[in-house]
Amino acid sequence: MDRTAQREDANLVNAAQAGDIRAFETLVAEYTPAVYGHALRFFGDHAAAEDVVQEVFVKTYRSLGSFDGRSTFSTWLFRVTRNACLDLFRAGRRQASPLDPLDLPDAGGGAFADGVAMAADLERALESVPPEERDAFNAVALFGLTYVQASEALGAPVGTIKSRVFRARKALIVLLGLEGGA
Amino acid sequence: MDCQEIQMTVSADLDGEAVSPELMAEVGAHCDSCSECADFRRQLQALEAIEPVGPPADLVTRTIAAVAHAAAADARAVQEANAAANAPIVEALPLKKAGRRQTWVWAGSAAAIVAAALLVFAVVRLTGAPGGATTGTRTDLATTTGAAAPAAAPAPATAPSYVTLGEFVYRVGDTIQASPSQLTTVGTIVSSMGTGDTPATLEAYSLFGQPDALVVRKSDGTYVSCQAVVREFQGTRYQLVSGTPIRDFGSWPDLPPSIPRPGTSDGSPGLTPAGKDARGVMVLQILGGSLQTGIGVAPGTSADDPAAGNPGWTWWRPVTR
Repeated sequence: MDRTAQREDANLVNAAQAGDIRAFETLVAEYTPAVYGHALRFFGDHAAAEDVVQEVFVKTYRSLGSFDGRSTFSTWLFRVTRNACLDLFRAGRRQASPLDPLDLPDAGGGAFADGVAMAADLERALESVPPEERDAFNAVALFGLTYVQASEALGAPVGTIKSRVFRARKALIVLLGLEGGA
Repeated sequence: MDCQEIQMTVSADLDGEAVSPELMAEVGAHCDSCSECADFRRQLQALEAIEPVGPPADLVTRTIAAVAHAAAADARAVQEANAAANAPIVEALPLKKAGRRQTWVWAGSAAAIVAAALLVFAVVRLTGAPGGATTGTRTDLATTTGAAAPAAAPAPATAPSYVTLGEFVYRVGDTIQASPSQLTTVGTIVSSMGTGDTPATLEAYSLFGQPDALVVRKSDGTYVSCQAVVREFQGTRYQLVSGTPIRDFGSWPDLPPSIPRPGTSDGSPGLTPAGKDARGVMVLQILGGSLQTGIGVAPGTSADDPAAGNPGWTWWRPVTR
């Protein structure tokens, strides 16, 4: 996420904290795809992902007063999202569903019919990526965090984040059969 | 650099991490002579071209509705806690923190709400001001707002059936028979119209140009009349406004964000008395401002007042129509 986007987020958060509900709605609209994407990759289930989105933003709304701006909003939201998924899982209300790579459709490189199918295959492939690599990848690719911000959110060194994101990408390339015909 | 380092650098560059031009030049030169790394760069581009699965189109709307429901539930819990504690009215308002920014304080649980209410009650008792302001300092938990108000009628459990067009508040009335030829579109509102469903965007009309009447076409195609919530002060009519759009029946209007939050029942530090209206209700204006910005009314007005029952301060804008 670039500095301009982060500054816009900060302005929206400030406005929301001052009572501007429309500013909060803008943040909801901006980040719903990221929150949804992370939850979908965690649970492999659309209904669970939708539950997480609503829970995350209700929590965020109620906690907005305690957000002090020391981290970026996206970093904070990623942390809230990740915790919400873990809490749901721990509470037994939802089951994470790792996928056997063999369940993926024919990964022959030319099997993608259209963008929708490709997107679906990407999500399925990500379910078989180790959780710590998937978290790092999501933080960077979905939430737009820098490696430093992801490091802060995940409590891992920056170099580790860099390696995890790289390994996730390497795995996805193989799982999606991109190494042959890309 | 070996191939692994080259590929990690390509990956980091894709993520917008700062990679020096010299390093990128080295990566480029390496890829020119290394088919494995050149392939990786192409594969990475193919991977990045895949869009992740997006959420359902209506999820943002449903999420915003869920947040609104939660906020309304919080507000109701605060009201109930106030009633239970028989304490001065406590509400969740944006408060000025010690730091540089304003922040909300949301009582997160019934216990916290009751504790907050009891705390304020205790503070009022200790300061010996049962009917007046506590102090000019606001606590970090809550603020008293109704202590010095006129004799209050019992507050209704929930707000009337309000909708908002822009920031202006209207009270929803009866179903009416209307034809498009009678109606002039004036905008849209977002409301569940008391159905409990997800709030929907609905067309709003004026009816024969009547100034205070609004007609809303519900999702089922029927029309309901709505009446502006107004009051008069010094010969000018003012309409109730809400800083937060009202999407569900039962939600109270709140102060627009630009209005200074009263810290005490006399409106200070941001508001100052402008005089009493015909009902004897004290009307306030922004300190150093003009009535054109609007007027404020403290909670606790009598049952015949258009602000009756609202547990918080209300703000009213002048209307010339």
